[in-house]
Amino acid sequence: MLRKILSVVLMLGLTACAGGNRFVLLEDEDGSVGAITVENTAGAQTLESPGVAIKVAGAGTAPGRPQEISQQEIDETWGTTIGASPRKPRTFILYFIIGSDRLTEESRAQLPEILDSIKEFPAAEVSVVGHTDRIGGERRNAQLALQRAEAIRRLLIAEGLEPELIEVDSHGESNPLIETADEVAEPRNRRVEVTVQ
Amino acid sequence: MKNPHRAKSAIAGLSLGLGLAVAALTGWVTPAAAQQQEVALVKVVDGEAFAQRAEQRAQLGVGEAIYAMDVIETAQGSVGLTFKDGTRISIGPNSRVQFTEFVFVPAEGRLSFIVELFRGTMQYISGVIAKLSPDAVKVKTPVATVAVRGTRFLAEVAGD
Repeated sequence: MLRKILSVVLMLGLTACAGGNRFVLLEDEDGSVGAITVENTAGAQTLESPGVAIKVAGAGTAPGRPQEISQQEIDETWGTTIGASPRKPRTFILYFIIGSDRLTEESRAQLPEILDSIKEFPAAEVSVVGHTDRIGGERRNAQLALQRAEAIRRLLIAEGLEPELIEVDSHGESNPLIETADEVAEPRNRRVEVTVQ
Repeated sequence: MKNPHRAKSAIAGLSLGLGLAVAALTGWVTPAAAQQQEVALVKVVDGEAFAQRAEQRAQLGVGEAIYAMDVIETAQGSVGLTFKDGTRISIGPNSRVQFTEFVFVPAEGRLSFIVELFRGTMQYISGVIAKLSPDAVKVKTPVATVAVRGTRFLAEVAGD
């Protein structure tokens, strides 16, 4: 009987060593670190530092203590997986002349860079979201933001981008980069955000 | 012309004003709509990867759409997906993953992303959903559930 129990324990131990169920927190590409909490009915563990792993033996066993994991171990198990990760989406911010859907000089000069970036993405998708500052009424600004987004959409199509790749939206005055009181002019909020992914 | 309280309560400053228009574009996740809702595009394929969709099994190529409830399967191959909110998930060999729920309507604060990793390996890199709603993202596995607070992480599941 004891032998039987021992061999079961041994088997469980071996399974755990072979990897099994593991969760590893990594640094984001921008260097920041978030957190993950691994939880089941038997317990929970939170990971907050990068390069640390948690093992979980089974659904009824509490997640193990966080333990360091080497780059070599990460590469052995996840090298192929990490290799298949898509390119990081890129966001461009284009600014407009007050009350208009005309780009500022500097922003107009940025268009070629956006077009180049789109070419770098396999099966590229482009989202174009218009924004305003808080000069003028809310409804008028929702329209103006949409006009701005549409103007960028037309420019991108004129440069040869396929219309079906572009999704247009308006956030009006409600999603400012810089918080202001109502009726305050803020050039940095008069913008269209173009995200390429 | 908007009162400051409302502006503050808008989630991460995102619009409430055009919520309906956004909802119309993005679509509700109802059981009927879930089959049709496009949630991601295939960006990288190395070897072979498949999507099980209703009764059909499709081999995946770059540029192909992934729908809510799709089950992605690999044997030797691996595959990389970019979701509508910019989340990126790559899946390694011998894996089986399902995207159970994907709701991305930031203007209404409706955000949710549930991934089920039945076996194999994956890398998750957070997108806008995790940024706006830290409790909205869950990766479920047979042994534990992972709650994600805006980050990049790896998972390996022995599975069946």
